Amino acid sequence: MFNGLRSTGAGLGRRVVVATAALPLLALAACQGAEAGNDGDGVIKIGILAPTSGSQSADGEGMVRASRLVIDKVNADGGIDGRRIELVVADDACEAQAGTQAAQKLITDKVVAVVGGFCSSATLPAIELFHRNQDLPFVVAVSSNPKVTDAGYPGITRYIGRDDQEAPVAAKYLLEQLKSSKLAIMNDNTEFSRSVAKNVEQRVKEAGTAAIVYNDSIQPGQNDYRAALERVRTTGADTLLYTGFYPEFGILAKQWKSLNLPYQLVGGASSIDLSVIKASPQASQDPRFSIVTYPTASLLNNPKATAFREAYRKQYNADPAQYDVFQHDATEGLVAALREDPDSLGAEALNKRLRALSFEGITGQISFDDRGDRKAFPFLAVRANADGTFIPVFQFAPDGGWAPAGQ
Amino acid sequence: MKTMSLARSRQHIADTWPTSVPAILALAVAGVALLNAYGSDYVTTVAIGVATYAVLGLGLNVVMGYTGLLDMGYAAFFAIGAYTSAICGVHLGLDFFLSIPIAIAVTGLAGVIIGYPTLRLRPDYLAIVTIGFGELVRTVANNWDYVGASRGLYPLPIPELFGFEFHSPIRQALLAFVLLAVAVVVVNRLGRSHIGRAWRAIRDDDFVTESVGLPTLRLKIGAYVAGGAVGALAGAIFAARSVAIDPTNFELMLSVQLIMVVVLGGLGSTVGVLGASLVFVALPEILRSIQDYRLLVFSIAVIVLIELRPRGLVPERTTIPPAAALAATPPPRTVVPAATAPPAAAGTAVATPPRATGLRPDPADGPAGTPLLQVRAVSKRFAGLVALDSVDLTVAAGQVIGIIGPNGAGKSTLVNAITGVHRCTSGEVVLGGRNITRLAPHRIARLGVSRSFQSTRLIDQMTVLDNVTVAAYATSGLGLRDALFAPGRVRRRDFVSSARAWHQLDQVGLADAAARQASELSYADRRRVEFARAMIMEPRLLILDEPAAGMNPAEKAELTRLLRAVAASGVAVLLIEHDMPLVTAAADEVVVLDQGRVLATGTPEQVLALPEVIEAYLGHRTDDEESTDDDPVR
Amino acid sequence: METLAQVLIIGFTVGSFYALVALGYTMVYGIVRLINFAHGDLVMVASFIGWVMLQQAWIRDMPALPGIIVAAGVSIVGTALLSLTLLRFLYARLIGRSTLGFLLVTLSVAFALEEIVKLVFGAREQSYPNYALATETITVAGVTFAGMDLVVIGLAGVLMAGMIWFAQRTMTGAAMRALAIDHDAARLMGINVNVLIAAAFVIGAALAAVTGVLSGVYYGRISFDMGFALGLKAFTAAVVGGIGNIGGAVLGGLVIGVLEAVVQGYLAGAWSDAFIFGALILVLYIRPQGILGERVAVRA
Repeated sequence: MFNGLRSTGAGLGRRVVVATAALPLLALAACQGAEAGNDGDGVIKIGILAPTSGSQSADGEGMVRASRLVIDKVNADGGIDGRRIELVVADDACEAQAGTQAAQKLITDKVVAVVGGFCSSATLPAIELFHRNQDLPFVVAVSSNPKVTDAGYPGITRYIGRDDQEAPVAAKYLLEQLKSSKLAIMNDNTEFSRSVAKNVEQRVKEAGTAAIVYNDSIQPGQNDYRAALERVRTTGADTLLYTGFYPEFGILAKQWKSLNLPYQLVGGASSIDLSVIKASPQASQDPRFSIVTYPTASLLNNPKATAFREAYRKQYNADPAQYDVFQHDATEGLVAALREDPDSLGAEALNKRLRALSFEGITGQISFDDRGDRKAFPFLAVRANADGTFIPVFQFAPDGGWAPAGQ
Repeated sequence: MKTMSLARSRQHIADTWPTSVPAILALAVAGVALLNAYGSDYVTTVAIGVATYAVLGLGLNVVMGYTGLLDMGYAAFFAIGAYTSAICGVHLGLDFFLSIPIAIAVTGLAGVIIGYPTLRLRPDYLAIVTIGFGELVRTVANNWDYVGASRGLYPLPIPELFGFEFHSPIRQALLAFVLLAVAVVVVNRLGRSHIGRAWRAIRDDDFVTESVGLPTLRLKIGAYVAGGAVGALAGAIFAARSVAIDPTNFELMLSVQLIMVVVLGGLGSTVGVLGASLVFVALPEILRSIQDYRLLVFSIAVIVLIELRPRGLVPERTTIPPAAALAATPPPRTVVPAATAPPAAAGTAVATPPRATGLRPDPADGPAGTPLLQVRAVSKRFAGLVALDSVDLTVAAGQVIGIIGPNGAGKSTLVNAITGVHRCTSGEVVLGGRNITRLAPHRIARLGVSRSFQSTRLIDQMTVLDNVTVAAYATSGLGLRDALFAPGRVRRRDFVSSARAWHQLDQVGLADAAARQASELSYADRRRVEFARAMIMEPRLLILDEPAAGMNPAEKAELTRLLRAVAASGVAVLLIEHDMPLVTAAADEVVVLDQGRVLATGTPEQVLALPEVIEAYLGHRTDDEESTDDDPVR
Repeated sequence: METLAQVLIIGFTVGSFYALVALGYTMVYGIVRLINFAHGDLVMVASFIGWVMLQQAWIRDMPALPGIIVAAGVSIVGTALLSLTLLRFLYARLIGRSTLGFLLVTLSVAFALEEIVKLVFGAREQSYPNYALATETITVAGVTFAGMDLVVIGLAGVLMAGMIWFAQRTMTGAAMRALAIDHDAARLMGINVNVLIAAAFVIGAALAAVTGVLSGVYYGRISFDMGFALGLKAFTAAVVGGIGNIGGAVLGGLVIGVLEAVVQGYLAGAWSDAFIFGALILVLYIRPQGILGERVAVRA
């Protein structure tokens, strides 16, 4: 009569126990599959750390493409001393936890060196891990956070400028070239953008020739920033510097133009993108408009840059993203360091060779100081021209300061 | 089977509840030892990620899986936990292990502040408010310099316990897995306790749950806060293993992914959450190529799962003790007097020590015949429509009062006004000298008013036994502390509650159906379960809304006898019924309602003889089911 | 004063976009009493349909305005069909049966739509053509605004009026209102509930499509992740204004839009989301039924 009442729950607790215990085991088993062998078989493994998913996935994909372009060519030409290079892509998703895991993966995969690094939030924990792992060489392409090199680890060489390099250069530009005396600074509420804004503010205050009349954030992802632009007008600012990223800058430029605002508009190094011109050709050709920038993909007209753009278009049927040139140079630098002594690919030797490199890349003369930052890093101030590309209007030489471009 | 030994049943109980702390802890430690022996630092790092996700999933499972509340800002609890722990370490110089209770307390406080206003509203409001809460927390973290604003907090101190530093991945894994074990124990103990049953009841039908005397608002806030506390634990783990935390760690996307983990794991399932966390974190590590499609794949998986099993979203595991054990358990505290009880139960019933409350009249109610319930000039208007117009009604202990009236006369509205479901527009309701007009339904229920519903309402996803047991929540004498720290006590008391429920079911002849799902029962049987559920609450006033609907004459006769017996034991009975012979046989007095007004009061014979009653009642009676609702909310 | 007027106009424009989406929310919510989390992403899909159309040579050859109208028309039809398809195959069987299931499915649909659009069109923003009519401005008494501001505000007003007329003066509208009050009663009165639910979804989708194309034309930028946040703010607007209430949706949209503009224009832009969601929580504390809403039936 009570057969139907047999409990079915007796095993539940046990299942929980078993599952709890099995979890690390399964993780173990699951991840074992991801571990590849060492670099026997004559293959040289290079890791790429880039955000191929998440908010910056477009830039991350571009970085992978840029590296692949270089490596495909090396492999086609017979590799490094007859050994093929294999790329191992690790996705840091532009965040700390994924960055940590991605770095661990590359270490476990026994890559000889890593090239990449876009978001500082993911790059910084990776740097710690690589450092603890016998200073695995990390050729940092795009992460511009000062902390990347400030730790002073021997494994780091960086191909892009530092945020704190951008800020003084931008401040100098605003004060000297644009003669600003009442400056407004706007950021996009991300750590990167806020730190640039803060550093510019500090420099301007030190110089003492201009007042900061506005310093606030906007929320990325919105469509209408006219209220904020209007507020800048009421402060009486003569110049507005935006330190955030290009999608919002395109909208800001368009709305700045349509409101016919009386101040100059300047974008920081993250604001450069052809989409800004697309968003508003009128704004980006306005003489009161400019962007202070690293020499990125679309701005460079040296033969190497042109060749890179053409090869990129041919292989991927798309234009390179702005930062792909740094990833390209970083990959070339790494290949050069490998080539110098293919029989000695240990971290210590490779790190020494990476630091000692001196070559002409797409992004200019490349050599490193004792922190691993580039010795001389050029900046440009650009504006759109009528055919829809950016042209330099001012250029910054590390020794000579700002001067009109082309001199 | 009545001779089944008590020892045997105890053995069974022990089997059902093996949530032993040492066992789970030992297994977590053993797992870490395996990681240590065979896993690289990379694997260990991934395993910590899995553990962090699993703890988050377990916490969200309390909110969403057990209680059915959609929390879309769960990352906020994770953030508050992580930040509180980090602040303790960075700014206050407190030990990491001391920071855990602080993080839990702060998170709990936030949960109450957000949960209290929101959980009173429609359930989907919670989803939108929690999104807002999540964004609010992140915005504050991003702009508040004390917590490093967008830079985040760093460097976080390395946790240390008696000189043992958690600095390497494997040591952090030890910490993470021990805390995961703690979370598993806490969540399972809550889930298996009387509180867990109450949560599941709320998930399936919070209206009924409230009406059988459970403080649903407090229970929902409790679930929200308990889930938040577990999230705080995950936050502490995260802070312990990270060099730095910053606001980008706690975005909306994390909350959404956690929801997917919990859904795909099977709402309410601990094993499922552990498995889904593993798949979610580890699978993209193996198959890098799916990383880009992860969100798409998981979204589609959730859609497919829900579409295939819209009802079975919740894999309900039926765990009730065997009937033999229930039947053999020292008898329930209350039974219907032996005269009407089936002989089988009588043997056990005689041993019952009488209780001061319950079916025995409460001394405070005075001797039989003193008014227990007084309805004084109660009116209820709905947007211009007068449903009750100055209704007076008195019911004395031991009395059966029948309420009759045509459709739309306001009978069900009257029940809802007495039980607190509707707020009276004017007038007052007094129970045993106490004004209950403005009390919440569960408070009125706990004062001894229990009811059945016109269209039966059972918690369909639960077993018949649990449907009755859940109404014993208030009388089980168990609290939150018992659920967390005294599983043995919970087990014993809960078993007693189940036994009481079983005996109540036995009274209505449904003991055999105890293990079945309520949804499988016939209409008449559902009414019986409602009756058993009402009786386990040990009512002073029993309100039955059309209990005879769907019953055959023999069953009606049985019901009449049952009602008389209940009344004889000192309970006041309010019987709303269309069935005239039943009312005549069962009721001492009849009240006729028409268009919201009391038309007549008297003995059944007197009232039925009045011409205006015949006119009002029989004149436009239809055979349709009355279409007024006993549930004002759909 | 001029600044205030300027900021208010901006707030009204932004608010009108929220209002258009909120109207769709309110339509659907009024009938099924469920939040459709995918509603904001319909706006995104609509934007992309419009964008694809505007890339077509035959539309590019047309003058700007007719081209936009054709693109918007296709987008309305496409979005409505998408919405109906989702309703028919995914939502219908959950309505009235599983609240949690419906919420979870619409949430998943939202992200699935985003991921699919991302796969097809890429993660980067896409630009609408640069229309002169989107940048032309008028200056009146020192206040500068775009002609498009007036178009957007006007359209929100007209559509609101149209919907109020529809709800009050047509049989379908009356049936919808009946349905909002009581499903069973409405069914007994011979109202075809399923048809009305479908009608609400179509109207909501059409409003979303108008919003999507209009926003693309005006602001120029669209991206796969533009919809979810917009949907959330629009839903917040509907709740603040009183969900289920047509005038409330528009009022709520304007309140949120103006609040956003005022925070940007006078207070601190860094905190703008905190202000909006803080306002939502505050409203729920003080007046849970929203500004114009009738009392929310508190669960017993």
